[in-house]
Amino acid sequence: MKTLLLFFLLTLSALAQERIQWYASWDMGLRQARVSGRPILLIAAAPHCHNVSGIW
Amino acid sequence: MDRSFLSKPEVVQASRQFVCIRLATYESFEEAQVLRGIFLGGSGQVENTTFALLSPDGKTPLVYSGRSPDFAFVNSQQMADTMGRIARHFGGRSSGELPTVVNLRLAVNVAACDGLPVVELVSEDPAQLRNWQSRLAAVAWEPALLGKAVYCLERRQVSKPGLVVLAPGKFGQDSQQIGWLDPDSATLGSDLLRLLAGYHAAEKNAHEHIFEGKRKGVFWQTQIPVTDPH
Repeated sequence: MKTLLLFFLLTLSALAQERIQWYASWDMGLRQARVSGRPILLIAAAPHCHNVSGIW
Repeated sequence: MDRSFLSKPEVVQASRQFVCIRLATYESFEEAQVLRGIFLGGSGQVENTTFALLSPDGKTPLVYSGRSPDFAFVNSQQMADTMGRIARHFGGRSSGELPTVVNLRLAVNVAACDGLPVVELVSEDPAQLRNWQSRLAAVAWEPALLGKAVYCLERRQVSKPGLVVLAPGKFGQDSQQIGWLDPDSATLGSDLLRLLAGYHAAEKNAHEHIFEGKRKGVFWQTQIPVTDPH
């Protein structure tokens, strides 16, 4: 039981660290979507706040 | 934008069946035109953030587009469930090229925003860069490396061409080399994973970050004018 719980916690921990892998340009992403036939998750965000960089 | 949905495990897992595109707003005139066709806020201008789920040809919105996922979903589980249904409808197959940012300047800033290192391929030889790009693309889409770095290519003369890992500065306007790898190495994937695993970014508080940046005179020059009224 303890082993199962540890495995569950480790899995949760690993998942929590996972992130989305983004394409960073429309042209490249659209090309990949057309080639793969997969739908698109699109986000746009400015990499600055009040012109201070380093934060979305 | 409420970006919390995008970091939830169920949404990250659902994203693996999508092609995920994140554009840097106000950094490209052409991409601003694309965003203009997808969502305009009440101002009638391109705003700081945009969210959409689109068909593979990029033409058909599949849910309500808006400034952020919470325009379309009440919570991350609903978003993940909807993405799962959409993915099953379209199917599709895995395919990936190296997901590069357009230049090193922007890559360093994006990496600083994400709390990630930059992986830069650098050489003055275009054929060598193309070859390395293919090799690194095969590695970058390995499950263990997904979302672990921001990539870019730079064609320029350096004393030691190859793969450079950079730690972005706090404000994403400078960086420090923290590793170098031979892209032709047979152990490129495991070596890169080891290097990336050793990088840990400091947590940021948005209010404090902006206050400190203003005090220090930090200024990010966008490529096109900022039109967000908020």
